[in-house]
Amino acid sequence: MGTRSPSQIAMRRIQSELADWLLDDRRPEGCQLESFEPLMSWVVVIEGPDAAPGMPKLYNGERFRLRVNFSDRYPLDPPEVYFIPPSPVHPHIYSNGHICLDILYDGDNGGWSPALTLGKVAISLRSMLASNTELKRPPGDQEYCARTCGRSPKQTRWEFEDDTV
Amino acid sequence: MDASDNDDFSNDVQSDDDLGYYTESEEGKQDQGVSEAIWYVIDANEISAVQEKALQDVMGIMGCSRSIARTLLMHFRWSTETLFGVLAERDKDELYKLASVTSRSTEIPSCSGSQAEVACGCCFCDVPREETSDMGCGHVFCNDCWSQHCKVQIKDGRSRKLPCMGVKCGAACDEETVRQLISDDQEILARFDRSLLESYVEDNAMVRWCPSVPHCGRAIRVEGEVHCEPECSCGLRFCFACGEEAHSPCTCEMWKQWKEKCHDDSETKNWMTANTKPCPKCGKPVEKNGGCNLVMCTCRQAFCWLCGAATGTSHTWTEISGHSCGRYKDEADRRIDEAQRNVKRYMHYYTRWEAHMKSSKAEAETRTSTQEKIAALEDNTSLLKDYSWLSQAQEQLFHARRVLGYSYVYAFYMFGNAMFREEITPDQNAINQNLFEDQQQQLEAEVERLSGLVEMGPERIGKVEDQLRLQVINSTININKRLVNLYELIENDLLGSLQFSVGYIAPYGGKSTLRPDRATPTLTTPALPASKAQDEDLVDLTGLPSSEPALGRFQGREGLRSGDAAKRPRRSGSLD
Repeated sequence: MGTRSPSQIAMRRIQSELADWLLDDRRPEGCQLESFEPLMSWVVVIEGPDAAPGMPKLYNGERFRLRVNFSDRYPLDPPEVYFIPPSPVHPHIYSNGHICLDILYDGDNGGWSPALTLGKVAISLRSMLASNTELKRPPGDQEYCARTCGRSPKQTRWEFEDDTV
Repeated sequence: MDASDNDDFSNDVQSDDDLGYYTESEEGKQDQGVSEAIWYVIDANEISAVQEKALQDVMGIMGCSRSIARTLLMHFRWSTETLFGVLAERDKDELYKLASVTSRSTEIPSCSGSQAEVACGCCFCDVPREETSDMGCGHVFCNDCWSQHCKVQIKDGRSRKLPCMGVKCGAACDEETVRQLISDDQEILARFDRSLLESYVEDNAMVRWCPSVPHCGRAIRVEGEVHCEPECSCGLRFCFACGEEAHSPCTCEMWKQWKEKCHDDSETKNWMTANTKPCPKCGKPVEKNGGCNLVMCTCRQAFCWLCGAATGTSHTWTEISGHSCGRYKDEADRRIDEAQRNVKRYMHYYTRWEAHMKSSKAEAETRTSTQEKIAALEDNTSLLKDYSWLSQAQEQLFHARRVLGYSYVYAFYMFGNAMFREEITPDQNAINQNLFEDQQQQLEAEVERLSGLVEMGPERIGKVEDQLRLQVINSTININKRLVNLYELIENDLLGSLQFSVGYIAPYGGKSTLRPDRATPTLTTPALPASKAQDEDLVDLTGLPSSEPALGRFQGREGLRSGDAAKRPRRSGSLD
C-alpha cells in the first residue's frame, strides 16, 4: 500500500471528474465548464437557478463564475472554491466570493469528504442560491473582505450554523 | 469540624434548596472522615495502565471493542459514570450515534461494481475487494485512499475520533484497522498511539497535566471536588481548577484578572487615559498640573484641556481667549480622582502581595538551611532531641505567608467595586472589609512574630531552647487557628453569601494532604475541630508520631463546604 503518490491520485480523480463535466448529460444541470487550463485550476459557470414556485425571483438569468483550485492532496483535501466577483448576493456569500458552506472545508467542523465531487459541490451551491429568499450579504461583509484580502477561504475559521439556506 | 458546620449560618441557608444532597454528603463525610478533594499523581509510565483500566471497565460492561470503548470514553470525557448513566437512560444505538461510534449519515453505503471489484469512491479506481476496507460504518474505500486519509488526518492532529471518509458520516475509524493501514510509517503510527494515550489526560475533566516547566511528564487525577491544590511529585503545587499556580484563597477568576493586571500594568494605562491628553501637534501625552484649562506641551503648542483642540496662549482663569467649548468642571475632575484612587489602591495591595511572596521565598530558603542544622544537631547530641516543632513551625509559616500574600489579591477584588458590585451593597461591603481586615491583620501579626522566632531559632538551639520551643509551638497553633478562621470567613460569609456569582476556592490545608503515594488515594486525616485546638493551646506537637507529615494536624478546613460541593455541576461529559 502507499504505492501511489497523492498527486497521482489527484490527477486521476480530476481527469475522471473532467470527463464527466465534458459530457452534456453527465454534468450538473445549469453548470458549464468555462476553463480547465491548467488542469488544477478550473472556472465553472453557474446559472442562477429558477426560483421555486411562490419564491421571489432572485437570480433568474444571472450567471456566476466559480473558481476551483485543486491541490496535490485532492480529494483528501477539499478544493479551494470561491466565486469570482461579482459574486451572488446571498447571506452566506461574501462580496469577495468566499462561501460559507460546510462541505467546502475540512477540519473539525468542516463537512468535506473525499467521496464528494465538484459536481456535488456545484449542485449544493445552486440549491443554496435557489432556496434563498433575501438579497443580503452576510453580517460584517466589508470587514471580513478587508481582513481576508487576498487570502484563501480555506484559511478562514468557519462556523456553520444555518442549515436552511 | 462538624460543630463549625452547624454553627455556620450562611452555609445552612445556602443548602436549604438542596437538603437531600447536603445530608447525604454530610453522612458520607462522617462515615469515612474523608475530604471532598482526593487526588492522585499519575506517573508518565502509568498513564497507559490507568487508561487501560477505564477501557477494560467499559469493554467488559458494553461487550464492545477497545476502539469503540475509547471513542465512547473520549466523548464522555473519560467519565465511566456519565457513560453508564446515559446508557441506562437511552439505548445502545442512540449512545453509539451520540458518540460518533456509528455513522450519522442516512444514506446507505453502496458498493458499486461486480463482486470481485469495488469502485473506490475516493480515487475512482476499480480495486479488488480484498484491497478495500471499511471502518465499521459501511463506507468502503480502497486501502490506498484510507491510508493516505489516515496519515493526513493524523498529521493534522486529528488522531482522536479520526473521521470516516464517507459524506457526512462522521463515524470514528476503528483504531486497529487504522494501525494496519498506517503500519508502513512508524513515525505516524507512533504519533497516532501517543495521541490516543494522551487523550486520557487531555480529554478528561478530572485529569490534568502537571503544569511544570519543563514538563515532568506526570498528570494529576482528582476525584470529587476540582477546586483543590494538588502537589505533583515534582514538587509543583498548582490549582487544579485553572491549572495556574496555587492561589487560594483567591478565586481562579480573581487570580486570572490579577495576573493580567500585573502583566499589562493596566493601572498605568488607566491613569494615563484619565490624566493626560495627547498634544494636538506632537501627540505626546500631556498631564495637567493645575491651573486653568490652557495647557502647554513641551513642544510649545498650547491647547484646551477640555476639548483637546489647539489654541492660542492668551487666557484668563475661566476661559481661553477666542476659544469656547463649553464650561468645564466636575466630570473631568471626578475621573481624575477615580483613576488616582484606583492606582493607589492597586499599589497598596500589590506591594503587600509582593512582599509576602518574597518573604515566602526567603523562608523556603531558611527552611532548607535550618533543616540541615537540625539534622546535624540530631546526629551530634547524645540526648534524644526532637526538633520537629521547628520544622513544623517553618512549614506552617511558609504556608501562612502564601495565604497572606494571596489574601491581598483576594481583598483587592472582593472589596473593590467592580467584581461583585451588583451583589454586595456598599454598606455591606464596608462591614465585610472590616471583618476581613481584622482577621488578616491578626494573622499577619502572628506570622511576623513566628517569622522572627524561627529566624533566631537555629542560633538559640541548645541554649534557651525550652522557652523558645513553647513560644514557637504556641505561635504555630495560633497561626493555624487564625488561618482556619480566615478561610471560614472567606468561604462561608463572603464568597458563600454570593447569590449570582460563583466563588470557589481550594480549601485550607491542601499542603498537608499530599503524599506522592499513588497506590492509595490521598486521604485527609479527620480534621481537628477549631474549638479543640483552642482548648489545647499548648499542645505539644512533638508528641506526634514522627512519621506524621509536618502539617498533619492542620487540616481543619477540608470538606467544610461539602454541602455546596455536592451542588456543583459535575464537569463531565455532556449530551449535546
